[in-house]
Order: sequence, then structure tokens, then C-alpha cells
Amino acid sequence: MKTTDLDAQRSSSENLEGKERSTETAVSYPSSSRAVNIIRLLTGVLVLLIFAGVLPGDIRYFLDDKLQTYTTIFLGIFIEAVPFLLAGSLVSGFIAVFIDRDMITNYVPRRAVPAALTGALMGFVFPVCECGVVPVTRRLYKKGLPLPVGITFLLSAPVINPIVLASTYVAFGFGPILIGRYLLTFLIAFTIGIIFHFAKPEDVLRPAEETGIGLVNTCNIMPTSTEGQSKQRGLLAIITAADDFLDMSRYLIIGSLLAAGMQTFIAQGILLGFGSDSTLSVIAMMVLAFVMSICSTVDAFLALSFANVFTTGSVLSFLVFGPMVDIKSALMFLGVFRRRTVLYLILLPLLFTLLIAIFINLNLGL
Amino acid sequence: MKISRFDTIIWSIVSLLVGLILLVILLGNQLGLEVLQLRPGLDAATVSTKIHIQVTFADDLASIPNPAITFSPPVSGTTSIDGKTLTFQPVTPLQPNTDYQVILSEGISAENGRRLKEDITWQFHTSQPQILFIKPDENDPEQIYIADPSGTIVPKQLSQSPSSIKAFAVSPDGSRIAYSATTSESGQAGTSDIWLMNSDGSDAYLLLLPCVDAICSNPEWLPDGHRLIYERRQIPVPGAAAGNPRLYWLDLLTGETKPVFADSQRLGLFPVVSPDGKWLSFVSPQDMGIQLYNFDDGTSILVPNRMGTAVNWRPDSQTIAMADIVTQEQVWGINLSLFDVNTETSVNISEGMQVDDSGPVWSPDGQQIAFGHKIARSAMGRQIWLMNADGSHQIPLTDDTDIHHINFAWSPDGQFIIYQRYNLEELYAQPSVWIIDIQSGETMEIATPAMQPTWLP
Repeated sequence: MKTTDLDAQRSSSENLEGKERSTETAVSYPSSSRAVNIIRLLTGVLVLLIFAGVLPGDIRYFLDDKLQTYTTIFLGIFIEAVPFLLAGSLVSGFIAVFIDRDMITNYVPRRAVPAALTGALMGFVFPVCECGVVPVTRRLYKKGLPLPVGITFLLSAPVINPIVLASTYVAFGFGPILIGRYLLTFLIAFTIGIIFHFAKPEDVLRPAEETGIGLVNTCNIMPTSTEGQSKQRGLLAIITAADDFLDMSRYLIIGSLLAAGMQTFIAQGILLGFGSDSTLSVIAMMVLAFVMSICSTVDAFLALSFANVFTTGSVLSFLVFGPMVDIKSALMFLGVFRRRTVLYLILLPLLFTLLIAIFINLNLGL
Repeated sequence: MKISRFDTIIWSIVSLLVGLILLVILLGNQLGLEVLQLRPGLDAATVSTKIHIQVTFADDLASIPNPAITFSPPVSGTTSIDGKTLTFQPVTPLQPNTDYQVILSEGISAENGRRLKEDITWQFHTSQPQILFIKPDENDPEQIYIADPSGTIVPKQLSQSPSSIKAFAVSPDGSRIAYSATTSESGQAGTSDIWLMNSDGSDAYLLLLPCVDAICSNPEWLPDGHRLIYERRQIPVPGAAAGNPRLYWLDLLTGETKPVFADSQRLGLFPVVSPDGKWLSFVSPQDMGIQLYNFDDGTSILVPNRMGTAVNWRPDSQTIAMADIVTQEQVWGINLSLFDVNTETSVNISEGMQVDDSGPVWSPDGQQIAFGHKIARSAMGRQIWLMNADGSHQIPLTDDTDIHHINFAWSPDGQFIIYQRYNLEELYAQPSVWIIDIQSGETMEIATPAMQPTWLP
């Protein structure tokens, strides 16, 4: 049975490779999609809000105030995330140009457990946060990365990387939070990676023609000399990175708009009242993590401010679930996976984290 | 929608996870409520008889069983919870020199659902109360001294104040002493500060509140042991006379001080806080009476009084005893009266007009009152008398008209009274502190010169 699965997966990867070859020969443009329409709609709403001056005084004041808050939060999230997306896109561009498909085929294991283990630790090779990890994963899939490796990498890399290790250590020191964050992230990402071993890539990943991912047409810019080729390959990597960046930015913008909207119009103060409840505190912190969409490189410092009020399990859930899934990253997943898969990628980390965090609160008393 | 094998696997796992989450929640909290600190600690040997038992838990408390805490020998009191802390406040002080066993009952639960899974038992031993007094000295600063009630040990100096101590108050748990002292050489002449020291003599003085332009005096503790109320007389310019007294808060945790009343023109002196901490009584010169200020609702009760001396609260905080001037057909006397704060009614408990009764002090169990008694308008010294709480059965404890007795203080066990006395026959009599056994009437000198005696429980 296992052999059959592996064969099927290999076959799927080959099919994807074939599609990649066909797309890499032409410049790809982001196709007009539902996401673009949503942006248009939200822009329209914003314009309406701006013209809300015609509304009665109280409502206008309320909207002005909210709009100001909304804009500030949106810019906060977006500006914080953009450099990481840029970094991820650059890594993606260089992977596209410099990493050969054979390297991945030869060095990345395909058996379930080693594959998931590899994915869980790849963050130390590609230290990216939840914004940067999406384009990198997408690019690696195009290079033939086995599905479980990519899923595990996608979920674990925002935490299991040296930058976040340092920031969590600075915030909490060496103790249950630091250990718990890494252990739980590894455990959950690894388990979900194993689960995705049973999936067929074509059922999970969006087809290449939908994602619009590829390389620019290199025929006209590729020189014939070796030295010139190296320079031009670098240029090509940057151009590809820019393409990736623009492609993923729309998801980031929509995600940031949604996150800002949730933070502006939904009272989060209520959630803070559940700090000492073993179950509700976990739910509250997971909702906060999802809504606030804070980058994993800095979320430990925010979590520290909750540490004295909220249960240990809930603080851990904030630090584990948030980097795996939040509003903006969930939107960005749509650029890689089918919608149903995105739903699974939200549900599984959510339920695993919820289970473990509540169990910690009720049984371990960290 | 096509359902693949993978979808089936996912939804099976989702169902399993939801089931497990519900199971974990249904099984509830498997952890016990953790006790972080016991006060007094395990096998503590010299515990104050006025200690409030405190247990600090790891989590915020939600509910406690009844009774949550029991003692052997039995102690009656009230139990309260505040955040992570459970406090038991005995109605009367504990017995001195006694072994106590405390049992904290299982079932105390925290807001996060954790419960104390089994009884916690520990022991402590109460100390023998000591006597504190101020020893006046013409050459050196006046200091607080400590003495043994048995009189077998020579009194020793407890404070190390660089300037003279004028008044002091022992904290509710007996661990610290707040005192007012005149400013040292570096300060402005005529002012006084509030200081703090440990009652065991360690850290013998700590400047709590520097009053560079005021006389800060008569500190009075709140039962929480974190706040003081004191009298403050502002000195507008150096060398000028002090202004009228006003009452101020002093928070020991933050160091913040501010007026008790928003109305800056409201005067007050001789502050006394009720044992339960709900009332503040003080002499209000503007109102010609005693004001009883309720901390909970901010209301006040005015009790007319022309005497202008501090009142004494019954241990149950329901009644005050006070002295007042009474007149009838150009004849005056000083009578004692009791004022009930619930019914707001007053009852005279002195025996007729021809007496000069003053300085009433409730016994620790609230059943008796010690007071000073003499015949009105006579030159005799004031004697120590006892009466029941309703004014009945008034009997003398001392009978020496040449000696003037004041400043009475009951021992925590109610068996002794310490007091200050003067010999009226001596031209330059020095104050001295004595102790009297209530049952036998036997008296004993503790120290001379000495004044303002009080118990260190």
C-alpha cells in the first residue's frame, strides 16, 4: 500500500513538473481572480467611508475614528509583514533559478516520517516567518518537494528557525514556554505532515496555471558565456522574486485588511477577561493570534505581556497556533493550495493546538 | 463535491480531535490547587497573638468551603479571599505562648477550576506579648523600649531613632512599628516625620514619610497592614506656627500620601480605625463632635462630643466608647457613653453626674471596659476601674488617690492591664509604666521614666 502511495505521489510530482516546464517558458501574470475583486470591493467601501462626511455627526465621528484606527492597524500589519514577504520571495526566486529539481529529488526523503522530520527542521535552512514561508513553499513544490515535507515546513518554519528561537529566548528565557513552543510546533507540524502523506498532490495543490507561478522568459536575456550566465541567472532570480512578491502581495493585502477590520470592529477586550479559565483562555488567545496576525519574529514579546494574566497553555497556544495560521497567512495559503486544503490547514493546527493547550492547563500545570 | 479518501481521513481526524477536546474538558481539572506560602510559616516559634493567618495560592481563588480553616485550640474569626490570598482574621487575639494547629480544608477552589485536593495541616507557636513604651530622656532622643511583662528582664532600647519619638503604633500583625519623630538636624525645626521599623529591632528605622514643611504625627494602621492614616499640620513658612490638623493617607507599598477627604478644609485629629477596617473615627473640631466615616460608602455619622479625645472601638467594630462633658445646673462632670453605629443611638454608662470618667478601653473579648475614674472636680488621682460592657458592675482596680493613672492597655489575653502613672505628691514626678493583674489586683513597676505603654502582641 505504501509503495502504491509513493508511486502515485511520484507520478503526481512528475505531472506537476511537466506543467512547470510548460509554464516556465513564458512570462506569467497574476490572473484576475476573486481576490482582486475583493480588493476592489474593499477599496469601494473605503472610499464610501471617506465620503462619510455627509453622514450625521455622531456616525461620522465614529467612522472617522474607526477608519483612522483601521488604517493604522492595517499599515502596522502590512509594513511589518512586507519585508518578510520580500525576503521569502527572494529565497523563492533564488530557489527557482539555482536549486535544481534533481537536488531535491536526491536529497529530500520521500518516506513519510523522514520527510516530515526534514520539513520540520527546514526552517533552519530557510529562516522565514509565516509571510515568507508561503512563497518559498510554493516554489519548492514547483521544484518537486514532496507534499508532507512542504506542509511540515509551512507550519513549522515560522517558529522553528534561529530568529524566532532567539526572540522567544529573549522574551521568556529558557523555560517551559520556550521548550513548549518548539516541542508543540514540531509535534503538530510533524503530525499534520504525516497526515498529508496520504494526500495526492493534485488534490491538495492548486494547478500551476491557477497559481501563475513560473520563471520569466529567459530566451532573450540569457548570454552565452559562463560568467555572463551567472550574472544573468542572478538577475533572473531577482526578477522571479519580484514576480513572486507581487503575486503573493495581493493575499497579504487582503489578509491585512481583514485582520485590521477584525481588530478595529470586534472588541478584543472581552477576550482578556478569560485569562484564568483553563479552556476559555486558550480559545481567547487563539482567536487573538488569528486576528492580530502578528509576525512570529516578534509575537513572543506580545505574548510576554499576557503571561501574568493568561494560563500557560493559552500563551503557548498563542505562540504555536498564530505562526501556523492567521488571517493573512490563511489568505496566502490560497495562492498555493486548494480551498478545501486551506480549510484543513486551518482546522488541523487549530484542533491540535486547542487539545494540547487545554490538556496542559488541566493536567500539567506548567 | 467529490469526497476523496484523504478527505475522509481528515474529517475522521477532526472528529477524533473534537472528541478528545471534549473528553479533556469533561474530565476537568486534574491538578490540585498549589499553596505557595503559609503565614505564619510551618513551625514558626514566635508568632504574634494578633496575627492574621494568610495562605497564598498559585491561582486566583473562586470559592471556599465553610469552614475553610480550623484551629486547635479553637479560634473564632472571619475568613475572606482576595485574589490568590485567603485570610483568616481572629475575632480576638490568639492566646500567648500557645501551640496552635491549623487545618486548611480541602475543597478550596480557584477560578480556573483547580481545587485543594487534601487538607493541609501545620503548626505554629505564639509568643509571650511584650510591652512597648517611650522612655523620655532630657539629654538623648526619646526612644521606644521593649520590656517583658514579668519584669524579670531589664527593658532594652528597641528603636535607634536619631530624633525623639513622640508617638507610635504597632501594625495589626505586630511585625512593624510606625512612629512619628521630630526632624533630625538636617530637617526643618519643629517638623516631624513618619518612620517605620521592624518590631524585632532589625532595621531599626526607615524614613517612611519625610515632612519637611509639616508636623506628621499619630500614625494609625489600617487592618490590611499596608496603609496608615496620620495627622498632618502644615507649616506655611519656616518658623511659623503649625496649621490646623488634617488627616492623610499613607500607602506603604507605593509611598503615596494624600488627604483622606477631598475637602481640604475638613479638619480632623486623633484618628482611630475600627478593628474591621470599615470605619474611621476622628475628632472633628468644626463639628464639635466625633465623626464616624464609613470607608465603604463614604458616609459619615456625627456624634456630638465636647471632650475632643480619641474614642475606643469595641473589637466587633459595632460600638464606640467615649468620654464627654456633661453639665447640669452649672455643675459638670465627665461621663462615659457608648454609641452603636448600627442604631446610631447613644447610652450613658457612668454612674451619675459627680464622676470624672475617661479613657475607656474595651477588653479583647469586648465584655468589659477599663476606664479612669475619679470624683468630679476633686484633686484626687484618677483610678483604674472596670465595668461590664453594658455599664453594670463598676468596680475599682486601684485605690490610691495620690497616684494618677492614664493610658490603659489590655494584654491580648485580657488578664493584665498596663498603664502610665504619676505620683501627685512628688513635685517633679516622672511618668512610669506599671502592670496590674486583673484577677489579683497585684501591681508591678515595669519602667521609670516611661510613658505611652502598649502591647506588642
